[in-house]
Amino acid sequence: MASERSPLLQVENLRIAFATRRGEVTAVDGVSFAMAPGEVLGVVGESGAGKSLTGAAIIGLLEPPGHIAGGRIVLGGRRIDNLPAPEMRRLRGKEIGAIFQDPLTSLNPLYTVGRQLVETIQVHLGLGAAAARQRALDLLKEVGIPAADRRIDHYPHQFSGGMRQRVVIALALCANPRLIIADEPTTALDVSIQAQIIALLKRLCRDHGMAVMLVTHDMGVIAETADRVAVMYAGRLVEIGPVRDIVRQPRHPYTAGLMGSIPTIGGRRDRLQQIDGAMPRPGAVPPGCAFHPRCRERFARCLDERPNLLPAGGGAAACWLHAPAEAAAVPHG
Amino acid sequence: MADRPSATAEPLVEVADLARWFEVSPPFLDRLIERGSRRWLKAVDGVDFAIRRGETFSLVGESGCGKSTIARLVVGLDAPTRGSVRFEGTEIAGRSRDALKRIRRRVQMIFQDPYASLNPRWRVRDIIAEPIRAHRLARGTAAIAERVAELLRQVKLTPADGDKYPHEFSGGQRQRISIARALASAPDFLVCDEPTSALDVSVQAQILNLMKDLQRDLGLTYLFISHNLAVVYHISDRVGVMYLGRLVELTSGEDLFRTPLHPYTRLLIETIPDMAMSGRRREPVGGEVPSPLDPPAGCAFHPRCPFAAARCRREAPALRRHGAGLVACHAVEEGRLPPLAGSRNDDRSAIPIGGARA
Amino acid sequence: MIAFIIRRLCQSVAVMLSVAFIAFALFTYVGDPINNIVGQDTGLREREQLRHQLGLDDPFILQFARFVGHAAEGDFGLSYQYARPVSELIAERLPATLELSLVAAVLALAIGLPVGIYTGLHRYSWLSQLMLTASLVGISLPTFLTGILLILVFAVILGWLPSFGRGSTVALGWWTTGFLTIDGLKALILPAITLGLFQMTLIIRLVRAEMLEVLRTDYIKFARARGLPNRLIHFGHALKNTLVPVITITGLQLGSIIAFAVVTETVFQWPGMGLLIIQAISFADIPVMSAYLVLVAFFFVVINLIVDLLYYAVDPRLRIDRAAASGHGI
Repeated sequence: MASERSPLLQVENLRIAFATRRGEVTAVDGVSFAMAPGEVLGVVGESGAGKSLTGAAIIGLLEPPGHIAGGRIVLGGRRIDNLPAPEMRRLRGKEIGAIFQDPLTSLNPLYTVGRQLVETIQVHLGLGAAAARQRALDLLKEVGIPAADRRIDHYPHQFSGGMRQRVVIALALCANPRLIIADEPTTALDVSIQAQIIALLKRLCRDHGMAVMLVTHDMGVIAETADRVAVMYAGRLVEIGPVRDIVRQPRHPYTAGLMGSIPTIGGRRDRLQQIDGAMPRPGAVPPGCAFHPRCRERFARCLDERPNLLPAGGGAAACWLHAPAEAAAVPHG
Repeated sequence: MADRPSATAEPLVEVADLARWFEVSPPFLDRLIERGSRRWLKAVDGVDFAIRRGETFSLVGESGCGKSTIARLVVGLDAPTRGSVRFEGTEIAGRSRDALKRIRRRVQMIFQDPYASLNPRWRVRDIIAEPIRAHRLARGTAAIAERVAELLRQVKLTPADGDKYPHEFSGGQRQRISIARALASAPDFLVCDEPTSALDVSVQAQILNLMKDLQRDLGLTYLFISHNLAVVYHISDRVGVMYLGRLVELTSGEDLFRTPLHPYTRLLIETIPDMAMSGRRREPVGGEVPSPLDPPAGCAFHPRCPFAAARCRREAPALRRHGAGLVACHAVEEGRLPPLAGSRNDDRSAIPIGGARA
Repeated sequence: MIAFIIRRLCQSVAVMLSVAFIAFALFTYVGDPINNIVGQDTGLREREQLRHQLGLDDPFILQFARFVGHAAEGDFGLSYQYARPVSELIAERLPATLELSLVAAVLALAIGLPVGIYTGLHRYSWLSQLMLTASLVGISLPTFLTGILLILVFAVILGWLPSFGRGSTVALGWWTTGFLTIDGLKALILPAITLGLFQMTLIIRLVRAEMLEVLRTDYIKFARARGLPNRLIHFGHALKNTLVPVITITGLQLGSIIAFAVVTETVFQWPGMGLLIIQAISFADIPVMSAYLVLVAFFFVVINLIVDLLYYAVDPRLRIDRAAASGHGI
């Protein structure tokens, strides 16, 4: 799993907090991971687990009162979490791109698609109007928009949902960024379109050598697209590893519960596996392991000590079950 | 499935030639000047099905297929342009509210958005008590409070939760409150419009399990609307697949997934991500769902269908019996459809390689 | 597009006819026009003769049709107070009011827009807070007080600007304009500020609210994610999206300004229609009142038509056939 090349992105102990009337509330608590160039990392977790916030922090679009309260983010060997605003702005779009969930609201309804593309191209690549327009046309063709030379002058509302998301992807691709943060890119689309968009993302990733951080709650999309998966729970990273491992043999009880609760075709048709209770909200995270109140395999240590990421299988899991000493002990509830 | 009481023969709900057209013509003056014509959006265009008591019947399809419109028509929130909806033999469609009062109590609905379907200004206990009061099912504050507490317990919440407001709950918990509210009138039939689509997958599992338990304990009948085939697989006895306002396939849950017939059904099954990671390559079928305003002529699916022939472009296929289910497809009738190479059976790792290749 | 224009024109005509009806009803039923024309000692027979001569005993519809016909030509009869044609009186006063209103509106926009944008972009800065507080003055002080205060400071104490009247004007055909003389321009300043202050405040707050709203949208977030510079985001993307509500309000306000410049005109003795109508009301000069009614309605209708056309120009979603556009979203 460890890449020979130096990692493209390194997130070290990232902490994101919100200043509220009741003091500071930590929403992301000490998350660390790395991404290799060209890899697809799926970041999966439920709503409120902190995955979108992590993506937003990387691209520098955390909305106040959220702020980075600790840790570092390093892109290509260069620290980016503490850059002054104009420098960060230069990075965005050029080195790191982002696409969001709803293609309808991601595009300005008052401007043509062509105008929005040309504008972005000119900002980053400094091309003249004609050259920029040509590049815009090429991008539209690359993402699979039919009749691109006519549709480049259409407005966003004249495209259907799937086509709009392709336009959004084209916009993110304008300056050939090395990393794209995709936040729930297929959730708002029909199922048959989801498959198309996923295939498109994979192809572009391969063709451009682009890394993608795919943030989603949909494990199916991850299984199809990702090379590695990071599972987040209550603002913490609880498991990370190659996608096959995570899906077939999860090492963390939460991941196992998550996999079990996903309905799949071909399995048994009775009750789905469920995890009782609910994920704690930021500020209400229990001491020790955040998952222990809901975990069937917890033991004494889990209640007091927060587990680090420990090697497990082909990846790592933040669970005391994998501590060398515990491997021999019998876990009990 | 062995736990549930067997479904009885006479249907509880019967829908015949149901259609709902919306007029979306440009204003009269525009038509006069631009010589346009009247236009109709055929959200539902001739649908027939019957739901037996005690079973879960699912309607599955993507956006624009008309499933949500059917949900509203079945519950009586909207009047059909054509066709009938019968509940226990009594016609619902187009009748007055007074006439339907007794039936109304027995048919309830659960909605998709747990954040929009509960009145944020009411306490939970008032939200749940409303149907009880409206249908006079209990008299006196004490009796009503008792019943509300019972309902809350049934959905695995606590009676103390009745004092809170909806915003104090998570999405999954709000959906439980919606279910409790729906159960408050002691209904026989629940129409569930995408009840878990807005929920995280682990919460979805809880809600689906809850719904199954309630069905078993209270003898409920469900009409379950969803775009998620995997969820439909888990919860349904029979499934109807919809495309642009029409039913294209209608059969038992088992058969639909083991031997899907209609090309669109196969497409939908193909698009389900491969969680078992067998590494098979999936080729997504191209094209998107056409706009319901401008459906293709003949069979609505023909532009995207790998088996389309000349007949498909001219003539819309009728829903005909084929084996144990119903299919609306010329290729199936004519025997042109290749069988699936493998079949989805109980073994999770066996995923069929679809025969539908362009 | 053409269908849209025709439809709006038909609506406008319908509105105008309704207003004409009300104006006419005023004319016919408020008091007896005959009484207003002749003295007290005129005998009954002469009155009847006069009534017949003027066609005042014809059926209602006929009289109404005649009224509409004359109104369309701009003929509203004779003023009771001045015994001159109403159209003449209005023509004398209209340019003054229109010029004042126009300058007031332009001033309100010219200051309101930039301030609104600034306070929207720099939400928490002290300068923004200062501007917002100062703008409260515009809303809370009554117009006449503002006018008097301005006269006190700038005309009496400092002596920079005239304290009343329109200054010297230049006649262009039947129109008299104050734009072409220094005098005229100086005289415009104080009344225009007084008149436009309310609208300026409204625009500031509206633009600010809209900017704050727009800056929260997904497409702005995506624009930032693409690395677009702030200038492009704020003035290219955000601003255009705030325009539709601003156009609406400005249009409506312009109509109000024209119609209700009364107080300002009184304070500054501005020889406009406002003064005319005040005097007409106290005198019960019905021809003038009904002419005023029809004229103001006409202005509102025209302004609204222009506003609707501007929407079309600004928002492309309105241009495409609504049915087809919404079909995709189903």
